[in-house]
Order: sequence, then structure tokens, then C-alpha cells
Amino acid sequence: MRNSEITIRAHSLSKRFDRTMIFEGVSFSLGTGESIAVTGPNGSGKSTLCDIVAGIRRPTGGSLEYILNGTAQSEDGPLNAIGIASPRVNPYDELTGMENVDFAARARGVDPSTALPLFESFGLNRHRDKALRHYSSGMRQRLKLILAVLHRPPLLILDEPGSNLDSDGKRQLAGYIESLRAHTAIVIATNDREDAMLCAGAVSLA
Amino acid sequence: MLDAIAGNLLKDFRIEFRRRFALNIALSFAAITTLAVSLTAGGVRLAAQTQAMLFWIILFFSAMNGLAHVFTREEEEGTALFLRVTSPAAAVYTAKLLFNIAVIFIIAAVISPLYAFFLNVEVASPSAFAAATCAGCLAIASSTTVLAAIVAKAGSRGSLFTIISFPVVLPPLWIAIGATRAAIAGNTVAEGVVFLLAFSGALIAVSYMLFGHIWIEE
Repeated sequence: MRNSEITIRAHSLSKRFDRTMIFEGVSFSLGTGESIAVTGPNGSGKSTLCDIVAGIRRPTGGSLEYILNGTAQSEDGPLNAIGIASPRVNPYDELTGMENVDFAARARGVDPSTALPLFESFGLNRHRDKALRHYSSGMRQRLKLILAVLHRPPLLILDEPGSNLDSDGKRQLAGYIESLRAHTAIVIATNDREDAMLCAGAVSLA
Repeated sequence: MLDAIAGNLLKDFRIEFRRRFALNIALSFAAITTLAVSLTAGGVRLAAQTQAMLFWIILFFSAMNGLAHVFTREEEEGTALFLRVTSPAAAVYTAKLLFNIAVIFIIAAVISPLYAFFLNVEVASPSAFAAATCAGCLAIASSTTVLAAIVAKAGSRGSLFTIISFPVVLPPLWIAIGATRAAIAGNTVAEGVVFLLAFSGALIAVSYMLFGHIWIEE
């Protein structure tokens, strides 16, 4: 997926759970090299919007267009073009960090050894053969970030990326996002000012 | 796609090997039930029809928990979304189906000799018995895999799964009992086996096409 160009256009997205409207009329456009922060109070639907953009949840109304290298993709999203790290996307506790990476890499048709420099970058190299149930919450968050960027997706969705990270982890994350910025479209859902500052644009959910 | 299926299958076997949930529960249930039926029968040799019926009842209820677990585990432990973002729906369905087929075949391989020993069953045609058992297991696995995916999204998953599965599994179970009785008596099982294979083929094809709609959350 390296060097792929992506454009995402959201038109009047809305989401309702039972009788509760979570958000409506959300529209934005995002292309490679651009980034947006999704902000809003708790329960405003930031994570739900991330799930919808990632193609793992359907909107109640509106539509999403994915254009990958000039070609329109299915509305469920081009699976291999998207990377997501979210509190709701949990890797397997019984597997080690490396086994989780091996699984994700095989599923995405990527060589698992490409993850080795990522373990180094995110300071997780010593722990890659430990079962996840022995990971701290910060280590889990680092692994989620590795799993999200493993296949070099042109669209990266990060939901509360700084949560559970110590100051070193946050610095590594900011540096890594900076290195991806030129060839990736980035969506960050957050209420953290530091995380939001990593993005050029914003979508605010009331 | 093949890599994604292999990756999913390897992951499911690794997790099962480390936890041994599905197989441990199923095999314990099977052993206890077989022993209980054997004690109740009190050494009396039962009619072929009764032997076949009890065999499939034990196999069906032993397998139910393990077969449902393959999807309910993903929802309960919050790993379902990770699976959704990494693997195409078709690869997930195929891997889960293959895993369930392996689980029910292992259960059948353990139950069959136990059952024959404790209930004093003499099978006139062992190859026909094996064919009927394999075809019946395939039919149960193919019908329960997609139902497990649906039930995984509901509450009271375990109990709901057996209740929902029963009407779907009843026709192949009925035919499997008939074929097993025929194998025990030394008669032909071809008709029953063909029905079970056709039933499995139809269900797998329909499930494969519908799985994407079940898998993405509304």
C-alpha cells in the first residue's frame, strides 16, 4: 500500500442507535498529506465516526466515498488501505505481540518482518515475545499503533492515540505521525489538545 | 485470500491450544454423557435405531458449546473489531468454518470409540459408519458456523445458540441418525450421505454470500 493516494469524502453522515441520534450532517473531505482532528464531548460519536470511516460500522444516513489511486472503492472501505488504532479494537490476549503482528500481516498480505523496525521505533522490542495479557495498558497502546501502521495504509485512523502512553510514548507517536504525514491521510479522534495539534483541520461533533 | 484464511486458522488454533476451552468442555461433556447413558442402559444392548439416536444426541450437544465459542469469544473479548479491520469477511468465515469442522471431527473421533465401547455397539459396516459420521459432522458444522456469527451479537449467547440451531440442524440430524442406524445394521448409507453433503454445500454457499452483511456492524 506504500505510495498509494487516497481521498475520502463524507457527505452528511449520520448515526442513530435505537432512538438516539448520535450525530448528523457530518461532511468532510480528506486526502493524502492532510489530517483532521475529530473532537467533541464524551458520547458525541467520535469513536463511532472513526468506525464508520474505517468501514467497520455502517452510517444510518449519508455516504462515504473512498477514491484510491483515482479509482472509487466499495462503500465498506478498502480494507487494506485503512489502519485503525482504537480503544475498541483489541488484539488477542493469548497471543504474543509478535504473533498478533504475524496474524495481522498474513491477513493483509504483508511480510511480518516489516514490523521489526516498528517494535524498535515504539520501544516494544524487548516485549514482542510476551503474551499480551502480561502487557501494561501503555504497551498495549503501542502495539495497537504498530498494528495500525504495519501495512503502511494511506488512511490512518487514530482514536485517542495518546491514551495510556507516557511522555516518551507520546513523543515517539508524534514523531512517527510526523514521518507519515506526507504520504498518509490522518484522522485523529481526541479531546487531548496535544493530539489535536498534530492535525491541520478539525471536525467538531456537538 | 489464502494467506488471510491460513493466518486466521493458525490464530484460532493457537488460541484454542493455549486455552483448550472448546475441546476441553466438549470432550468432558461427551465422556460424562456417554458414561451416564452406558450406566443407564445397564449393559443391555440397545436397538440400532436407539444406538444411532443416542450417538447423535451426545455428539450434537457436546459440540454445541465449542462451535458457538469460535465467534462468541471474539465478541466477548472485544477482538471482533480487530478481526474486522484486518481480515476480509470471506476469509474470516472460511477460517471459522474450517476450525469448526476440525473441532467437531476431533469430538466425533473421540466419542465414536468411547460410545462403541461403553454401549457395546457392534457396527456391521465401519466404513459406512465413518462416512455417515463425517457427512453429519460437516452438516452440523456448516449450519452452526453462520448461526454462531449471528448469535455472537446477541445477549444470552450460549443458551440462545443451541435453541436457534436446533430447528436448522434437525433435518441433517434426522438423516444422520438414519444413515448411522443403516451403517450399524450393515445397510447402504449412500442416500443419506449424499443428502448431508448437498445440505452442507448449499448452506456453505449461502452463508459465504451472506456473511459480509452479518459481519459489518450496523
